[in-house]
Amino acid sequence: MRITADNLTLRYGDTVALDALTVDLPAGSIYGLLGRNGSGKTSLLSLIAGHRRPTSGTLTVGGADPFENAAVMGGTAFVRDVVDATDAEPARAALRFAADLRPTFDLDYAHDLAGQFGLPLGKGVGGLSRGQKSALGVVLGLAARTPLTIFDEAYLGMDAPSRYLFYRLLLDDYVADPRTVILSTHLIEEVANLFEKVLVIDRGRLVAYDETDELRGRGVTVTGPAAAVDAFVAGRTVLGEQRLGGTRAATVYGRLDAADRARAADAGLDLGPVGLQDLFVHLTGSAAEPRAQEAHR
Amino acid sequence: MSTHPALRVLRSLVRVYTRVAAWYWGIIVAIVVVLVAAFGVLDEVRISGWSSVTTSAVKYWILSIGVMMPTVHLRFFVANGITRRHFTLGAGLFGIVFVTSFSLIGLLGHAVEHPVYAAAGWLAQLDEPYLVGSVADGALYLARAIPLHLVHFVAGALIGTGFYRFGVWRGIALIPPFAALIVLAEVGFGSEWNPSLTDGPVPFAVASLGALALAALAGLAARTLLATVPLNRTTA
Repeated sequence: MRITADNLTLRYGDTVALDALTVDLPAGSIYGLLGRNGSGKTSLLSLIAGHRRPTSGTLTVGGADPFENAAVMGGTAFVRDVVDATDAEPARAALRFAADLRPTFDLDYAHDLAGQFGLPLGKGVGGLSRGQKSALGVVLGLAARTPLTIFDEAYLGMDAPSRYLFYRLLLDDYVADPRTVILSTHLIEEVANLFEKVLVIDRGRLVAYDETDELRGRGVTVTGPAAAVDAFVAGRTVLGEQRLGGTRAATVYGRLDAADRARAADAGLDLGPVGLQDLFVHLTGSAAEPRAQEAHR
Repeated sequence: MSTHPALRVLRSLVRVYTRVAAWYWGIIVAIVVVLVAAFGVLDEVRISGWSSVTTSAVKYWILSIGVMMPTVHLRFFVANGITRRHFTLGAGLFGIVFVTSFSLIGLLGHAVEHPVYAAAGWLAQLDEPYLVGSVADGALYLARAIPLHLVHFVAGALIGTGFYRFGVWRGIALIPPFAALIVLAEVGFGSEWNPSLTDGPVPFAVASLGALALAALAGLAARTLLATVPLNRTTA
């Protein structure tokens, strides 16, 4: 389902969670949603899932306002860090409950997934470990088989093997049944290869939105003699820097063309890639604030 | 063709509460049997054990289930793709099914207890006439119990909605006006103060239909208040 937000704003009292956010997410991709704590990720996802209404601006999912829209809400699975199941009921009941309510829910697949995660289905949800609760949420999300599936920090507390199992299962399922998936996470490098496109939001604003490889290509680390680096980065957006003696490493935001690369080589500078996580840290750190609107696209 | 979402809500709630209700009635029956047997041995049976144990307990139980509709269940249904309006409709249907079944079980209890009392010769020594002694009494019992129980269910849902939508302090402040619905319905029947089914301060039909109308209005109020409520992140 295509998601389009136009000047989307959400306020909680005096707090601005989303600030005139405008973005268009075509259907059929895996999106990474990155942002610091309190940046507005969960608020954005809650609006998309119809869990609340925006203060102003417009949001459409599949061409319609998602709030109280039975078709959109029925076609959206939003897995939060808090598992949506009654603590007193066994995990098996949570699967049955979802199967009762969602015509698309694949109960056999859910039981298969639960087996792969080693979920004790007979145990009460309240008695599950943090990681097991997350696994239950992931199972509910994957087995929902909805056109739009959202995982918001859904794998908190899961151990590394379980997380990698989730990534594999998600990818397998996505290949077999393409749909729109949004993953909100802080484990950026671990999941980065899953993302086809990445959105970065900070303080309720869109800081970056691009294909993952394109985004990675936006950042370049320039390393070399301090004076040469200073000269090279002059007039460019420097996201961060490190100095060691006479050597300086500067992270530059923006694509370098062939002439830039030639000039860097002539000046004896090394150009290196920037990891998605590093770029994220730079984009959402205080130094990035002046760049927020420039990076907006 | 898939089932209407409100009917899916109804089916899920019935599934959840069938087991809960079985436990509830199992405990109630055990208490009544023990009490009646104990007083019977002492030959001190002056009241209906079933009436004494179930009359208020059932109403408060139904009230608490109503409170749980918005506070516990709403988010699970919305998280599984159900809109608020379909949830409130399904929960309302569930309320009707739930209170009707509880009222019927209440009647069934009397139907079982009455011949036991008659056989033991206790009917004559009761302080008040036995509440349900005939088919006509049974019909009147249901015509009182179902509307009254519905008002309790919906008042509970309104109280829960107050907490869910407006937070703890404003939720507490809203308890008296929402609970007033119950008082109003009770006063209409005179049910807490008068053991007779029909001897209330207003004609029985007025009390019965009035309570139904009260429940319907309160249900609409709860539906309106929940129509735009944001989903909380609390656990249950």
